[in-house]
Amino acid sequence: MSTINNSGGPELRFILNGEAVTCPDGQNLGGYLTSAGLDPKKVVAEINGQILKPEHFTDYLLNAGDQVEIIHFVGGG
Amino acid sequence: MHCDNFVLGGKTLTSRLLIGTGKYGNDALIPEIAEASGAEVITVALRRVDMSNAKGNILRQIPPHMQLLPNTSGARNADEAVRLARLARAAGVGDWIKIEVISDTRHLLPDGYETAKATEILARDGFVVLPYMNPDLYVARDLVNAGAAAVMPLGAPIGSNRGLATREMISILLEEIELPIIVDAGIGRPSQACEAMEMGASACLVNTAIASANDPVLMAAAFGRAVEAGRRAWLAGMGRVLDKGAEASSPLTGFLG
Repeated sequence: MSTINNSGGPELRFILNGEAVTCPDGQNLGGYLTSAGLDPKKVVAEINGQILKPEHFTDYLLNAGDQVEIIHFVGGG
Repeated sequence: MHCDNFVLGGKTLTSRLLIGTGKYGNDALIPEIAEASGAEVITVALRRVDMSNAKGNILRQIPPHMQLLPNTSGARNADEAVRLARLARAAGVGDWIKIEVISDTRHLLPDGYETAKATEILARDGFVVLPYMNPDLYVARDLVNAGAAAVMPLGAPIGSNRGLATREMISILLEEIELPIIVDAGIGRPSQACEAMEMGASACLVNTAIASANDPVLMAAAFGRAVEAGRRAWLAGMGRVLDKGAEASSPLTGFLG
């Protein structure tokens, strides 16, 4: 389901870590994460229940309705 | 200073202390703590990135020679633990995993049945599986059969610093289970880690007791030495205990007239 964003281009809506977000149509995951200020090499992703390794982030074009989990390591015992 | 090596998951370790990375107000302390402790294995957890406030990556604080041991904390059943383990491996940090399956949020006790199920799946999938468990003999046997690389019984509930409350049950595991036994959770003082090692445990995993000390770096050093002392004592074999009375250590002859 694409809509029109403020700059006039089509955008799509997906779910990122449980929250609805939008990005330009045709955006890849690596590009999205970089634009959100994250280093894609430091995280791992799960898309619609499937693990995606960091080296494939730029190959993956986000789709409307994708369920995306972005995970990283934190302190723990 | 080290005496005998410890082989875990095919890796030869010189230290029998494993440490965690949780509860440090300042993660920048972790390199110093790691060095002071002498530990070569360190745990981390996996969580969703907070997209609005992504903090620095904890991995930057971990010395590169250390074996990373991701845990599956947050998993409430075997499927969730398996999912977290596979995400950890996809992140490229190796195939060691500490299974932690907990659905009871008050006592934080591990679910033995779900832990064994996750252990079986992940061991078959090539992981080095280190399950956190209640020191129950039957659960331990299930974990052995499921392909665990070690079992990690709790000394006391997670984060409690109450020590070896499960001493008797751990003794039974030490007697009956061939795999390495790593006492995890609840150890609050170096003397308690030392006691676990004197009993014959293969190693101890300590997080809260170090993180909650006034001086975590000094406490990390204390735990490193305590674990080493306990191991040496176990290797040396304890002296006998007299039921009653006393026995002089100095000669009872040749006294001055």
